[in-house]
Amino acid sequence: MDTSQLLKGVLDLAVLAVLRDEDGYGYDVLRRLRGGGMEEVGDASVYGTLRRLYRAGLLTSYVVPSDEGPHRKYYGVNDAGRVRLVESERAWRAFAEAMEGILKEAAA
Amino acid sequence: MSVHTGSPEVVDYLARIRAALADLPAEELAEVMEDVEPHVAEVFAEAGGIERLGSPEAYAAELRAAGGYPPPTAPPPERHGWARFTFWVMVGLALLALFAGLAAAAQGSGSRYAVWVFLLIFVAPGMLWLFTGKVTVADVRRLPEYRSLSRRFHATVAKLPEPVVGYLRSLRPAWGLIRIGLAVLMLLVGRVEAAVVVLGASAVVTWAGPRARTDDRVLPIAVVTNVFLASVLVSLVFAAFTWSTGRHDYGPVQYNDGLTYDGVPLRNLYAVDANGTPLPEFYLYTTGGEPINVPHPMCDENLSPDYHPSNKFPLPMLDSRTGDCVPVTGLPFVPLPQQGSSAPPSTTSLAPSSSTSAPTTAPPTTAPPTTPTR
Repeated sequence: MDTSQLLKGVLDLAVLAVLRDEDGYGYDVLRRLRGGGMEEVGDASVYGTLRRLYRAGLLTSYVVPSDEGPHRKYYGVNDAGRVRLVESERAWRAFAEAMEGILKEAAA
Repeated sequence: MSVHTGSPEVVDYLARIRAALADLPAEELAEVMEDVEPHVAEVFAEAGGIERLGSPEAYAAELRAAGGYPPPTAPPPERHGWARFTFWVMVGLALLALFAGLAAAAQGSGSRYAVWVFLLIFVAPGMLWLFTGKVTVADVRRLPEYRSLSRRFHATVAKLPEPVVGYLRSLRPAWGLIRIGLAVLMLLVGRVEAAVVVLGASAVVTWAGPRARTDDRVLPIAVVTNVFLASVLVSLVFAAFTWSTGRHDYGPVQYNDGLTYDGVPLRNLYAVDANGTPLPEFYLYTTGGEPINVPHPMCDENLSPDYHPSNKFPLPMLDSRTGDCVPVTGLPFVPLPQQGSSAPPSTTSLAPSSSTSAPTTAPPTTAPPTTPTR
Protein backbone atom coordinates (compact mmCIF):
# COMPACT_ATOMS: atom_id res chain seq x y z
CA MET A 1 0.00 0.00 0.00
CA ASP A 2 1.12 3.57 -0.63
CA THR A 3 2.21 4.95 2.73
CA SER A 4 2.95 8.44 1.45
CA GLN A 5 -0.46 9.70 2.52
CA LEU A 6 0.12 8.39 6.03
CA LEU A 7 3.61 9.87 6.08
CA LYS A 8 2.34 13.32 5.23
CA GLY A 9 0.46 13.63 8.51
CA VAL A 10 3.29 12.53 10.73
CA LEU A 11 6.33 13.93 8.94
CA ASP A 12 6.41 17.05 11.13
CA LEU A 13 6.50 14.95 14.26
CA ALA A 14 9.08 12.58 12.79
CA VAL A 15 11.42 15.40 11.73
CA LEU A 16 11.18 17.09 15.15
CA ALA A 17 11.82 13.72 16.80
CA VAL A 18 15.00 12.90 14.86
CA LEU A 19 16.35 16.39 15.59
CA ARG A 20 15.53 16.24 19.29
CA ASP A 21 18.87 14.92 20.50
CA GLU A 22 21.22 16.10 17.78
CA ASP A 23 21.17 18.89 15.21
CA GLY A 24 21.51 17.87 11.60
CA TYR A 25 21.55 19.13 8.03
CA GLY A 26 18.91 18.07 5.53
CA TYR A 27 20.54 14.88 4.43
CA ASP A 28 21.19 13.87 8.06
CA VAL A 29 17.48 14.18 8.78
CA LEU A 30 16.65 12.16 5.68
CA ARG A 31 19.08 9.40 6.64
CA ARG A 32 17.77 9.23 10.20
CA LEU A 33 14.19 8.91 8.96
CA ARG A 34 15.14 6.20 6.46
CA GLY A 35 17.25 4.44 9.06
CA GLY A 36 14.23 4.50 11.38
CA GLY A 37 12.14 2.66 8.84
CA MET A 38 10.53 5.47 6.84
CA GLU A 39 11.94 4.20 3.56
CA GLU A 40 9.43 5.93 1.38
CA VAL A 41 9.89 9.46 2.60
CA GLY A 42 10.73 11.72 -0.33
CA ASP A 43 13.91 13.79 -0.35
CA ALA A 44 12.14 16.97 -1.30
CA SER A 45 9.38 16.40 1.30
CA VAL A 46 11.97 16.45 4.07
CA TYR A 47 13.46 19.71 2.81
CA GLY A 48 10.03 21.28 2.45
CA THR A 49 9.08 20.16 5.97
CA LEU A 50 12.28 21.56 7.43
CA ARG A 51 11.56 24.94 5.85
CA ARG A 52 7.96 24.92 7.06
CA LEU A 53 8.92 24.05 10.64
CA TYR A 54 11.60 26.73 10.50
CA ARG A 55 9.12 29.34 9.29
CA ALA A 56 6.75 28.27 12.07
CA GLY A 57 9.51 29.16 14.55
CA LEU A 58 10.10 25.61 15.77
CA LEU A 59 13.63 25.18 14.43
CA THR A 60 16.85 27.13 14.50
CA SER A 61 19.34 27.00 11.66
CA TYR A 62 23.01 27.79 11.20
CA VAL A 63 25.51 27.30 8.41
CA VAL A 64 28.60 25.17 8.92
CA PRO A 65 31.40 25.75 6.42
CA SER A 66 32.80 22.66 4.81
CA ASP A 67 36.24 22.14 3.36
CA GLU A 68 35.01 19.84 0.63
CA GLY A 69 31.88 20.82 -1.21
CA PRO A 70 29.28 23.43 -0.34
CA HIS A 71 28.48 24.72 3.13
CA ARG A 72 25.81 22.83 5.05
CA LYS A 73 22.87 24.33 6.82
CA TYR A 74 22.16 22.61 10.11
CA TYR A 75 18.77 22.60 11.82
CA GLY A 76 18.06 22.17 15.49
CA VAL A 77 14.92 22.11 17.65
CA ASN A 78 14.40 25.24 19.77
CA ASP A 79 12.25 25.58 22.90
CA ALA A 80 9.07 26.17 20.95
CA GLY A 81 9.91 23.11 18.89
CA ARG A 82 10.36 21.00 22.01
CA VAL A 83 7.00 22.13 23.35
CA ARG A 84 5.43 21.25 20.02
CA LEU A 85 7.20 17.89 19.97
CA VAL A 86 5.79 16.98 23.41
CA GLU A 87 2.25 18.01 22.35
CA SER A 88 2.44 16.21 19.03
CA GLU A 89 3.87 13.10 20.60
CA ARG A 90 1.02 13.03 23.11
CA ALA A 91 -1.53 13.52 20.33
CA TRP A 92 0.10 10.84 18.22
CA ARG A 93 0.10 8.28 21.04
CA ALA A 94 -3.53 8.96 21.81
CA PHE A 95 -4.36 8.68 18.13
CA ALA A 96 -2.37 5.47 17.69
CA GLU A 97 -4.04 3.97 20.76
CA ALA A 98 -7.47 4.86 19.43
CA MET A 99 -6.56 3.46 16.05
CA GLU A 100 -5.32 0.29 17.63
CA GLY A 101 -8.61 -0.11 19.47
CA ILE A 102 -10.65 0.50 16.34
CA LEU A 103 -8.65 -2.03 14.38
CA LYS A 104 -8.98 -4.58 17.16
CA GLU A 105 -12.75 -4.07 17.36
CA ALA A 106 -13.04 -4.51 13.62
CA ALA A 107 -10.95 -7.65 13.67
CA ALA A 108 -12.89 -9.18 16.54
CA MET B 1 32.81 10.30 -2.83
CA SER B 2 33.55 13.96 -3.29
CA VAL B 3 30.83 16.44 -4.00
CA HIS B 4 30.95 18.35 -7.27
CA THR B 5 28.50 21.21 -7.17
CA GLY B 6 30.05 22.41 -10.39
CA SER B 7 29.16 19.48 -12.60
CA PRO B 8 26.96 20.57 -15.51
CA GLU B 9 24.18 18.08 -14.68
CA VAL B 10 23.96 19.33 -11.10
CA VAL B 11 24.00 22.95 -12.21
CA ASP B 12 21.26 22.31 -14.73
CA TYR B 13 19.15 20.33 -12.25
CA LEU B 14 19.46 23.06 -9.64
CA ALA B 15 18.65 25.76 -12.17
CA ARG B 16 15.44 23.96 -13.09
CA ILE B 17 14.43 23.58 -9.43
CA ARG B 18 15.12 27.24 -8.93
CA ALA B 19 13.07 28.14 -11.98
CA ALA B 20 10.16 26.00 -10.78
CA LEU B 21 10.20 27.74 -7.39
CA ALA B 22 10.80 31.18 -8.85
CA ASP B 23 7.57 32.62 -7.48
CA LEU B 24 8.73 32.19 -3.86
CA PRO B 25 10.00 35.31 -2.11
CA ALA B 26 13.66 35.82 -3.03
CA GLU B 27 14.92 35.38 0.55
CA GLU B 28 12.97 32.19 1.10
CA LEU B 29 14.08 30.80 -2.24
CA ALA B 30 17.70 31.50 -1.29
CA GLU B 31 17.19 29.59 2.00
CA VAL B 32 15.62 26.67 0.18
CA MET B 33 18.40 26.53 -2.38
CA GLU B 34 20.97 26.61 0.40
CA ASP B 35 19.50 23.34 1.66
CA VAL B 36 18.89 21.81 -1.73
CA GLU B 37 22.21 22.55 -3.42
CA PRO B 38 24.43 20.32 -1.24
CA HIS B 39 21.70 17.70 -1.20
CA VAL B 40 21.37 17.42 -4.98
CA ALA B 41 25.15 17.47 -5.39
CA GLU B 42 25.49 14.66 -2.86
CA VAL B 43 22.72 12.56 -4.34
CA PHE B 44 24.14 12.95 -7.85
CA ALA B 45 27.42 11.61 -6.58
CA GLU B 46 25.71 8.46 -5.31
CA ALA B 47 25.03 5.48 -7.53
CA GLY B 48 21.41 5.52 -8.63
CA GLY B 49 20.78 8.81 -6.88
CA ILE B 50 19.50 10.56 -9.97
CA GLU B 51 16.67 8.07 -10.50
CA ARG B 52 15.58 8.48 -6.89
CA LEU B 53 15.29 12.24 -7.17
CA GLY B 54 13.14 12.24 -10.28
CA SER B 55 12.75 15.32 -12.45
CA PRO B 56 13.70 18.70 -11.01
CA GLU B 57 10.14 19.89 -11.58
CA ALA B 58 8.74 16.96 -9.57
CA TYR B 59 11.29 17.64 -6.84
CA ALA B 60 10.23 21.27 -6.72
CA ALA B 61 6.54 20.34 -6.63
CA GLU B 62 7.10 17.92 -3.73
CA LEU B 63 9.11 20.49 -1.83
CA ARG B 64 6.45 23.11 -2.46
CA ALA B 65 3.70 20.86 -1.12
CA ALA B 66 5.62 19.74 1.97
CA GLY B 67 6.83 23.27 2.66
CA GLY B 68 3.32 24.66 2.63
CA TYR B 69 4.13 27.18 -0.08
CA PRO B 70 1.31 28.51 -2.24
CA PRO B 71 0.75 26.78 -5.60
CA PRO B 72 2.84 28.07 -8.46
CA THR B 73 1.78 31.16 -10.30
CA ALA B 74 2.42 31.11 -14.01
CA PRO B 75 4.72 33.97 -14.94
CA PRO B 76 3.22 36.38 -17.44
CA PRO B 77 4.70 35.54 -20.82
CA GLU B 78 5.65 39.10 -21.74
CA ARG B 79 8.25 39.02 -19.01
CA HIS B 80 10.34 36.95 -21.32
CA GLY B 81 11.20 39.93 -23.49
CA TRP B 82 12.22 42.11 -20.57
CA ALA B 83 14.25 39.32 -19.05
CA ARG B 84 15.95 38.82 -22.39
CA PHE B 85 16.71 42.52 -22.66
CA THR B 86 18.11 42.58 -19.14
CA PHE B 87 20.21 39.49 -19.75
CA TRP B 88 21.77 40.66 -22.99
CA VAL B 89 22.41 44.13 -21.67
CA MET B 90 24.31 42.53 -18.80
CA VAL B 91 26.27 40.33 -21.19
CA GLY B 92 27.10 43.39 -23.30
CA LEU B 93 28.09 45.28 -20.20
CA ALA B 94 30.40 42.48 -19.12
CA LEU B 95 32.06 42.41 -22.56
CA LEU B 96 32.42 46.17 -22.54
CA ALA B 97 33.92 45.98 -19.06
CA LEU B 98 36.40 43.47 -20.42
CA PHE B 99 37.53 45.73 -23.25
CA ALA B 100 37.52 48.87 -21.13
CA GLY B 101 39.70 47.10 -18.60
CA LEU B 102 42.11 45.89 -21.26
CA ALA B 103 42.36 49.41 -22.65
CA ALA B 104 42.77 51.01 -19.24
CA ALA B 105 46.53 51.04 -19.24
CA ALA B 106 46.80 51.93 -22.90
CA GLN B 107 47.36 55.40 -24.24
CA GLY B 108 44.17 57.28 -24.83
CA SER B 109 41.93 60.09 -23.81
CA GLY B 110 38.92 60.16 -21.55
CA SER B 111 36.59 60.07 -24.51
CA ARG B 112 36.46 56.29 -24.44
CA TYR B 113 34.43 56.51 -21.26
CA ALA B 114 31.67 58.07 -23.30
CA VAL B 115 30.58 54.62 -24.41
CA TRP B 116 29.71 53.87 -20.79
CA VAL B 117 27.28 56.71 -20.75
CA PHE B 118 25.55 55.29 -23.82
CA LEU B 119 25.43 51.88 -22.22
CA LEU B 120 24.02 53.25 -18.99
CA ILE B 121 20.99 54.32 -20.95
CA PHE B 122 20.34 50.63 -21.64
CA VAL B 123 21.59 49.19 -18.37
CA ALA B 124 19.59 51.48 -16.12
CA PRO B 125 16.15 50.10 -17.08
CA GLY B 126 17.43 46.53 -16.82
CA MET B 127 18.68 47.08 -13.28
CA LEU B 128 15.56 49.03 -12.36
CA TRP B 129 13.32 46.17 -13.53
CA LEU B 130 15.47 43.69 -11.67
CA PHE B 131 15.29 45.59 -8.40
CA THR B 132 11.62 46.48 -8.61
CA GLY B 133 10.75 42.87 -9.39
CA LYS B 134 9.36 43.52 -12.86
CA VAL B 135 12.00 41.07 -14.04
CA THR B 136 13.04 38.45 -11.54
CA VAL B 137 16.36 36.69 -11.63
CA ALA B 138 14.42 33.48 -12.16
CA ASP B 139 12.97 34.95 -15.38
CA VAL B 140 16.48 35.46 -16.62
CA ARG B 141 17.55 32.00 -15.52
CA ARG B 142 14.65 30.51 -17.46
CA LEU B 143 15.92 31.97 -20.72
CA PRO B 144 17.24 29.26 -23.00
CA GLU B 145 20.27 31.38 -23.87
CA TYR B 146 21.09 31.84 -20.19
CA ARG B 147 20.88 28.14 -19.51
CA SER B 148 22.97 27.20 -22.49
CA LEU B 149 25.64 29.79 -21.62
CA SER B 150 25.70 28.79 -17.99
CA ARG B 151 25.96 25.10 -18.87
CA ARG B 152 28.85 25.80 -21.20
CA PHE B 153 30.59 27.93 -18.60
CA HIS B 154 30.30 25.29 -15.90
CA ALA B 155 31.39 22.56 -18.30
CA THR B 156 34.50 24.61 -19.11
CA VAL B 157 35.27 25.19 -15.45
CA ALA B 158 34.76 21.49 -14.75
CA LYS B 159 37.30 20.66 -17.44
CA LEU B 160 40.00 22.80 -15.81
CA PRO B 161 42.51 20.77 -13.84
CA GLU B 162 41.81 20.79 -10.11
CA PRO B 163 45.10 22.53 -9.11
CA VAL B 164 44.24 25.51 -11.36
CA VAL B 165 40.79 25.89 -9.86
CA GLY B 166 42.19 25.48 -6.37
CA TYR B 167 44.87 28.06 -7.02
CA LEU B 168 42.39 30.58 -8.39
CA ARG B 169 40.16 29.98 -5.40
CA SER B 170 43.06 30.52 -3.02
CA LEU B 171 43.62 33.93 -4.62
CA ARG B 172 40.17 35.10 -3.58
CA PRO B 173 41.20 36.65 -0.23
CA ALA B 174 44.07 38.50 -1.91
CA TRP B 175 41.76 39.98 -4.52
CA GLY B 176 40.71 42.80 -2.19
CA LEU B 177 44.32 43.90 -1.82
CA ILE B 178 45.04 43.51 -5.52
CA ARG B 179 42.13 45.82 -6.31
CA ILE B 180 43.61 48.62 -4.23
CA GLY B 181 47.01 47.89 -5.75
CA LEU B 182 45.54 48.34 -9.22
CA ALA B 183 44.36 51.85 -8.41
CA VAL B 184 47.75 52.75 -6.95
CA LEU B 185 49.53 51.38 -10.03
CA MET B 186 47.27 53.39 -12.29
CA LEU B 187 48.19 56.52 -10.35
CA LEU B 188 51.88 55.65 -10.64
CA VAL B 189 51.74 55.40 -14.41
CA GLY B 190 49.88 58.68 -14.57
CA ARG B 191 46.40 57.41 -15.45
CA VAL B 192 44.52 59.48 -12.93
CA GLU B 193 41.11 59.00 -14.50
CA ALA B 194 41.67 55.24 -14.78
CA ALA B 195 42.74 55.15 -11.13
CA VAL B 196 39.51 56.87 -10.14
CA VAL B 197 37.45 54.41 -12.21
CA VAL B 198 39.34 51.43 -10.77
CA LEU B 199 38.88 52.73 -7.24
CA GLY B 200 35.17 53.18 -7.87
CA ALA B 201 34.83 49.70 -9.36
CA SER B 202 36.76 48.30 -6.41
CA ALA B 203 34.36 49.93 -3.99
CA VAL B 204 31.42 48.49 -5.93
CA VAL B 205 32.92 44.99 -5.74
CA THR B 206 33.46 45.34 -2.02
CA TRP B 207 29.81 46.23 -1.66
CA ALA B 208 28.32 43.82 -4.17
CA GLY B 209 30.57 40.77 -3.72
CA PRO B 210 29.28 39.52 -0.36
CA ARG B 211 25.71 40.57 -1.16
CA ALA B 212 25.68 38.66 -4.45
CA ARG B 213 26.02 35.41 -2.54
CA THR B 214 22.58 35.84 -1.02
CA ASP B 215 20.91 38.27 -3.42
CA ASP B 216 20.99 37.20 -7.04
CA ARG B 217 20.00 40.61 -8.24
CA VAL B 218 23.38 41.99 -7.22
CA LEU B 219 25.20 39.24 -9.10
CA PRO B 220 25.41 41.04 -12.47
CA ILE B 221 26.94 44.09 -10.78
CA ALA B 222 29.53 41.95 -9.03
CA VAL B 223 30.31 40.01 -12.20
CA VAL B 224 30.67 43.07 -14.41
CA THR B 225 32.90 45.00 -12.00
CA ASN B 226 35.04 41.93 -11.32
CA VAL B 227 35.46 41.33 -15.05
CA PHE B 228 36.51 44.94 -15.46
CA LEU B 229 39.05 44.80 -12.64
CA ALA B 230 40.43 41.46 -13.79
CA SER B 231 40.98 42.78 -17.30
CA VAL B 232 42.60 45.93 -15.89
CA LEU B 233 44.99 43.61 -14.10
CA VAL B 234 45.69 41.74 -17.33
CA SER B 235 46.25 44.98 -19.21
CA LEU B 236 48.62 46.27 -16.54
CA VAL B 237 50.61 43.03 -16.57
CA PHE B 238 50.76 43.22 -20.35
CA ALA B 239 51.78 46.87 -20.25
CA ALA B 240 54.48 46.11 -17.69
CA PHE B 241 55.91 43.56 -20.10
CA THR B 242 55.96 46.06 -22.95
CA TRP B 243 57.52 48.77 -20.85
CA SER B 244 60.14 46.52 -19.40
CA THR B 245 61.24 45.57 -22.89
CA GLY B 246 62.33 49.14 -23.48
CA ARG B 247 59.61 51.23 -25.06
CA HIS B 248 58.83 53.99 -22.59
CA ASP B 249 56.01 55.40 -24.57
CA TYR B 250 53.71 56.32 -21.74
CA GLY B 251 53.58 59.77 -20.25
CA PRO B 252 53.35 63.05 -22.09
CA VAL B 253 55.91 62.35 -24.75
CA GLN B 254 55.65 64.53 -27.78
CA TYR B 255 56.31 62.64 -30.93
CA ASN B 256 58.52 64.31 -33.44
CA ASP B 257 58.15 62.78 -36.83
CA GLY B 258 60.54 65.31 -38.27
CA LEU B 259 64.24 65.17 -38.81
CA THR B 260 66.75 64.26 -36.19
CA TYR B 261 70.50 64.78 -36.11
CA ASP B 262 72.56 62.70 -33.72
CA GLY B 263 69.33 61.65 -32.09
CA VAL B 264 68.29 65.23 -31.39
CA PRO B 265 65.17 66.49 -33.14
CA LEU B 266 65.86 69.32 -35.55
CA ARG B 267 63.60 72.32 -35.43
CA ASN B 268 64.57 73.50 -38.85
CA LEU B 269 67.11 73.20 -41.64
CA TYR B 270 68.97 76.02 -43.34
CA ALA B 271 71.15 76.06 -46.41
CA VAL B 272 73.62 78.58 -47.64
CA ASP B 273 75.40 78.67 -50.95
CA ALA B 274 79.14 78.75 -51.39
CA ASN B 275 79.08 82.45 -50.70
CA GLY B 276 77.31 81.99 -47.39
CA THR B 277 74.14 83.44 -48.79
CA PRO B 278 71.07 81.76 -47.30
CA LEU B 279 68.93 79.92 -49.82
CA PRO B 280 65.46 81.34 -49.26
CA GLU B 281 63.79 78.14 -50.40
CA PHE B 282 65.03 74.64 -51.09
CA TYR B 283 63.57 71.13 -51.32
CA LEU B 284 64.89 67.87 -49.94
CA TYR B 285 64.68 64.47 -51.61
CA THR B 286 65.86 60.97 -50.94
CA THR B 287 68.01 59.06 -53.40
CA GLY B 288 64.84 57.50 -54.76
CA GLY B 289 63.32 60.88 -55.50
CA GLU B 290 60.91 60.74 -52.57
CA PRO B 291 60.26 64.17 -51.11
CA ILE B 292 61.39 64.28 -47.47
CA ASN B 293 58.16 65.65 -46.11
CA VAL B 294 58.40 67.01 -42.61
CA PRO B 295 55.59 68.27 -40.36
CA HIS B 296 56.06 71.56 -38.63
CA PRO B 297 56.11 70.85 -34.95
CA MET B 298 56.02 74.49 -34.00
CA CYS B 299 53.23 75.53 -36.30
CA ASP B 300 50.69 72.74 -36.18
CA GLU B 301 47.86 74.89 -34.94
CA ASN B 302 48.32 77.86 -37.19
CA LEU B 303 49.23 76.26 -40.45
CA SER B 304 47.84 77.49 -43.65
CA PRO B 305 47.16 74.62 -46.02
CA ASP B 306 50.22 75.40 -48.11
CA TYR B 307 52.46 74.54 -45.23
CA HIS B 308 51.26 71.05 -44.48
CA PRO B 309 54.01 68.46 -44.23
CA SER B 310 56.19 69.25 -47.15
CA ASN B 311 59.78 69.01 -48.23
CA LYS B 312 60.11 72.75 -48.59
CA PHE B 313 62.72 74.31 -46.31
CA PRO B 314 63.32 76.24 -44.19
CA LEU B 315 60.15 75.32 -42.35
CA PRO B 316 57.91 78.20 -41.39
CA MET B 317 58.26 79.18 -37.76
CA LEU B 318 55.85 80.49 -35.21
CA ASP B 319 56.01 84.21 -34.74
CA SER B 320 55.82 84.61 -31.00
CA ARG B 321 54.40 88.11 -31.24
CA THR B 322 51.54 87.52 -33.65
CA GLY B 323 51.01 83.81 -33.02
CA ASP B 324 51.06 83.20 -36.77
CA CYS B 325 53.22 80.89 -38.77
CA VAL B 326 55.49 82.91 -40.96
CA PRO B 327 57.99 81.89 -43.61
CA VAL B 328 61.62 81.97 -42.55
CA THR B 329 63.67 84.29 -44.66
CA GLY B 330 66.94 84.93 -42.88
CA LEU B 331 69.26 82.78 -40.83
CA PRO B 332 69.15 82.62 -37.03
CA PHE B 333 72.94 82.35 -37.06
CA VAL B 334 75.94 83.52 -38.99
CA PRO B 335 77.45 80.77 -41.13
CA LEU B 336 81.11 79.92 -40.65
CA PRO B 337 83.28 80.40 -43.68
CA GLN B 338 83.81 77.38 -45.86
CA GLN B 339 86.81 75.49 -44.58
CA GLY B 340 89.33 73.69 -46.68
CA SER B 341 90.26 75.10 -50.07
CA SER B 342 90.97 78.76 -50.52
CA ALA B 343 89.38 80.65 -47.76
CA PRO B 344 90.37 84.29 -47.68
CA PRO B 345 92.85 85.17 -45.00
CA SER B 346 90.22 86.53 -42.76
CA THR B 347 90.96 85.68 -39.16
CA THR B 348 87.72 86.31 -37.48
CA SER B 349 85.54 83.31 -36.97
CA LEU B 350 82.54 85.45 -37.54
CA ALA B 351 82.45 85.50 -41.27
CA PRO B 352 81.10 88.56 -42.98
CA SER B 353 77.46 88.25 -43.48
CA SER B 354 77.44 89.65 -46.95
CA SER B 355 78.70 87.79 -49.97
CA THR B 356 81.48 90.24 -50.77
CA SER B 357 84.28 88.51 -48.96
CA ALA B 358 82.86 85.01 -49.02
CA PRO B 359 84.91 82.21 -50.53
CA THR B 360 84.49 81.96 -54.23
CA THR B 361 86.32 78.83 -55.18
CA ALA B 362 83.61 76.42 -54.10
CA PRO B 363 81.66 75.06 -57.03
CA PRO B 364 78.63 77.13 -57.66
CA THR B 365 75.39 75.57 -56.75
CA THR B 366 73.51 74.46 -59.78
CA ALA B 367 70.24 73.21 -58.45
CA PRO B 368 67.79 76.06 -58.50
CA PRO B 369 65.18 75.87 -55.79
CA THR B 370 62.40 75.71 -58.26
CA THR B 371 61.57 72.05 -57.97
CA PRO B 372 57.84 71.75 -57.56
CA THR B 373 56.61 70.63 -54.20
CA ARG B 374 55.17 67.14 -54.29
